[in-house]
Amino acid sequence: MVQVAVQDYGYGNARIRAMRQRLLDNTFYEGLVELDDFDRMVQLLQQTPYKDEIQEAVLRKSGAAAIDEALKLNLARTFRRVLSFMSPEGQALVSTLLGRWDIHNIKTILRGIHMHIDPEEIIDSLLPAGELEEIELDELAKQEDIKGCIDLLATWGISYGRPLTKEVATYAETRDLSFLELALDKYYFTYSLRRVRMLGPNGQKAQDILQTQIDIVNLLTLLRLQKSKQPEEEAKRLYVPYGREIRFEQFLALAQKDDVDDLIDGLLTTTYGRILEGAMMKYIEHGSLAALERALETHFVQKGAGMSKGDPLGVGIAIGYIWAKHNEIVNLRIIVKGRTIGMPEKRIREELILV
Amino acid sequence: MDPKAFTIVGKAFFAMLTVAVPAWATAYAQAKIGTAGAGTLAERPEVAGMIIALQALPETMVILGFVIAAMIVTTLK
Amino acid sequence: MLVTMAKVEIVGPKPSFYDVVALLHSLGSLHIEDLGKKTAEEDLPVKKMEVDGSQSAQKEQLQQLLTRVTGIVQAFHASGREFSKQARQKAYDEVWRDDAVGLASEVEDLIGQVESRSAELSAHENELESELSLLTKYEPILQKIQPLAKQIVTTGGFESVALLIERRYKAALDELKAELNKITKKQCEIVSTDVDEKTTAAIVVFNKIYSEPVHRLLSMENVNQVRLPPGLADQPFDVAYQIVTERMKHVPEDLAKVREDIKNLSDEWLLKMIAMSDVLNDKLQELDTIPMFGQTEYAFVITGWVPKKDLPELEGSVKAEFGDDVVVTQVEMSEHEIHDTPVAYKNNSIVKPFELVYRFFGTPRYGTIDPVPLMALFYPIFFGLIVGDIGYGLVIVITCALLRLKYKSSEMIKVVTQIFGMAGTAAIAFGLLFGEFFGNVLGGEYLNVIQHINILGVELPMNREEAMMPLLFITVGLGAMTMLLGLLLGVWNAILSKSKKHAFEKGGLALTLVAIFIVIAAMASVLPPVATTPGFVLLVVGIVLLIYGGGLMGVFEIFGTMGNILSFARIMALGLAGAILAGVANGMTKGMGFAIGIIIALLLHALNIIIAVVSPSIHAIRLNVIEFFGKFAETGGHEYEPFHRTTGPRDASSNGEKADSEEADSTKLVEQEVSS
Repeated sequence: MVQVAVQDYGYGNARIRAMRQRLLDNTFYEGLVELDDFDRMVQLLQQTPYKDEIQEAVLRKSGAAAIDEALKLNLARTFRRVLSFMSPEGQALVSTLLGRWDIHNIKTILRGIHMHIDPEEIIDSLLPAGELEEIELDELAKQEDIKGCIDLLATWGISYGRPLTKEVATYAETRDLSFLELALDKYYFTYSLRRVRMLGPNGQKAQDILQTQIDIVNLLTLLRLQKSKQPEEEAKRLYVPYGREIRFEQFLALAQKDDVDDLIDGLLTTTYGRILEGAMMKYIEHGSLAALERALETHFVQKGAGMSKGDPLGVGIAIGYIWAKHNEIVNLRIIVKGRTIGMPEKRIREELILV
Repeated sequence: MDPKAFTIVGKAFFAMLTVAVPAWATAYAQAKIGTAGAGTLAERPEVAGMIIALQALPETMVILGFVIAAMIVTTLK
Repeated sequence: MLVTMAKVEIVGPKPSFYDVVALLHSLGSLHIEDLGKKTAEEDLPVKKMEVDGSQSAQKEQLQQLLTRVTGIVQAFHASGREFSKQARQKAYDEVWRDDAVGLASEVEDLIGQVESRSAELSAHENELESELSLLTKYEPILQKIQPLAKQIVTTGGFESVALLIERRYKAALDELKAELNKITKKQCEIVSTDVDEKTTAAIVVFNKIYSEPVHRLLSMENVNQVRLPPGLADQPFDVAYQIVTERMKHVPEDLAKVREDIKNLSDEWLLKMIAMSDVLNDKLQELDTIPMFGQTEYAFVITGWVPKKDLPELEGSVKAEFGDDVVVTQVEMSEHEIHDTPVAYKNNSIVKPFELVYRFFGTPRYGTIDPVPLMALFYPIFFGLIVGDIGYGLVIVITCALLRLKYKSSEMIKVVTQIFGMAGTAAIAFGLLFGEFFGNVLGGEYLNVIQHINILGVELPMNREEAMMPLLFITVGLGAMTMLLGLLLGVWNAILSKSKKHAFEKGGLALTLVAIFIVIAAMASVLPPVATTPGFVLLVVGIVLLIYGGGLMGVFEIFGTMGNILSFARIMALGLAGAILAGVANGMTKGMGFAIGIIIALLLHALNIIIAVVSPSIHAIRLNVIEFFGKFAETGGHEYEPFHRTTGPRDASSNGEKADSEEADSTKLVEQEVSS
């Protein structure tokens, strides 16, 4: 642990920049995708910064399972390390942003329990990128029911338990997970925005990211509301405030649009309109909203990773690295999982997000 | 006030400034270089020599400031 | 000096290929040229040596084995374990097999014996660590409700549930009680307490018969039920807490035991593991170098460099083993090939320590002047000029001598003491020039033993505090001369590497510099005014050559060089600062009584010496490397890295550093744990 002055980002940024240079590039992904043998993949990864974790994992497991374990281990360790050499202000900002993945993981677990999915499968789709560690997530996934999971969070004193507890009765009545998910989102965003608002220009960057996140959550809600029978009522309930570009009135209006085309047209005043337009072809081709959702996700990842451009003495470098590293791990997992289920190479390549 | 005393005090004061301000500037610069350099070294030990050289670069400011201060104090009679 | 290299070409029939490679590997003196790359870039009569299918299969196998071995070594957590060279060599020889297939099965065997056990232990260790971590999460809340748990007694017919309620909903507790009473027909009990500022805990005990309705009620309310660790779900809370705390005590003990077992395992196997990884690394290196070789239809071709002095040995060994089948010929290096030649230093013991210093800044190109001997000359001069004190110099030299005697075996100490020994001696010499011994002790205010002599119009010794301006001119003049020397060396370098433009550029710059001095000197009447005109002529000629050689950027070089020259003023400034500080230290004895004064004076002198070791060093190096060498030295060479075995016979030679560092790479395996 290094003791750094409250405002000094110099040390952390220098280290993070060096770490960023070691991130994998497209040529590597190409090489990895072409391999059809997991042992060969292990060898290829041996020559990367994943070497240490691969060696550890290979002792206990083999093949795809070893790679997966190594990736999860590396992610958790890297993020801990980044936090360890940041200044106190930087730590506060970055850990607040890391909450995004905690929320994501909790939602995944809740969804899994709700649909009675086998705990092993739930654990398989988690990535311990936030403050919740792998052990905690695994234990949460093994709970028998939603209430049990939420109670466990409370038992451990994790603050996300509170908003969930409030909504658990409603969930029990309606069996509608969206109540819980919405409570979680609102809690996270309100708490985080309040926290970063007090932290100067660096806080601004974090705020930007958070607000973009809110926008995307709202957009995803809008896309799903397409199928709803009572869009207006649900819209009122599901709106998350404090987004960057999408205000409540616009949200309501868009919720009432009949089809996706109109929706996107309505969004053309925002940055998201053009992005979704670009993905329209894919949407029409496959007929599923997944293409649109993916476009938004890609935009968000690229925005996050792009935070590194700009002030070399600010928190942007750390944020950019975190996003880029997380994306790298996700890409690697996609390649490995794709291979495991026999996805054709072309398809795997399409799934990768490249920053 | 006695002009001679004034001259002496003036010389002393400005000589002080000539060293103090560059010294502060050097310290500030080297502090920033130092933390960033420490971070870089932690990740890439092979550039150690370059980092040390870079760390010593701002020294010039305070040295030249000192030279001027010394000249003020001793030679400008 | 740079070691003279000879370029060699080894040609032989394909069947002998692997044997020749093994021989070269063990001789460890050939720096191999990557023909694979070369054939891709140029048109040569040879093709790249292809790795055939069985080779790549072998390579993969060996790589996998290496991964497994390193995995096991990492699980051993044996950081910092050192083994003697002989032990490692012996273990190495035991494992080594010449052919890759035999090696693979040998290693597979050895690994098999230890792998499952270490995997088991490692997994167990992980489990225990996870368990401990998990228990730690449950512990705080269990501890807080412990007092509550003691208040209630659960007999067989009753069930107990622990709840957590947010403080602000505490009022709901009473309602809850009322509801529960209704459901359980008053066969229930609630006790509660505050656990922290935000939460209240409560334990509800009720008749088991009403279990279902009670649970249903609770799940509807804004309360959380305390969950117990896996496996303890049915225990009463105080018992659960007991168990948890017990486990938390035991797990570290169990953990220690597992780690003990791991350590035992590692004691038995670590050396073999390291030897195996060394061997695997070497074999892989052999296989990796194959694409660097060339081939024709029936023959293989290897090109590379050896130090000229090692050539006879190479030729001899090859001939001894292969007779006339394999031919070693020395090849003439073409002009532009000279630059690719690898570089090794060959310096006498005085200059050698400075190699280490220069290594930080780059490697010189083959065929250019080796700047290190110049550093060995100028660094002490600069250092001496700055420190310039007999007393300080003596202290430095004596300290170096003492350190050398005490730490006879440390290489690092040898290098450092040698450098500072020379620097200190120079400091003494210049101290004589400046008449400084711990400052102005010898001067008028104290011992007053200085005799002033007058040489060539200059009064010696030169008091630094008084002769500031002359000193300034001297140092700047020194700077000018050093720069000039640098530029002349640059011209010579350019001639050596047959680069005409560079020669003109440096030459033009040198001429311009001289011309500027002549003009300034003439204008300041140091030289007869009549010199002005030839000075200007020279200036013009110089600038023309400069632009011809380096383009318009060359003109900026002039200002850069002037800046560099002025940079030498720091010698005067730093030196003066040191001298004045020493004077102040001595002044202490006057102000406040002799005894106290002496103590403070000595402390200040000590401080001054420490500063003198650090600051002038860095600046002297900087002046050397950046200003001086910048004028002529060309980096960009690559180091001589011969193709050798990890614990090969080359340890003792001048290439030994590389062999040592290869060794260090293997011990790094065990040190990796420390860094992560």
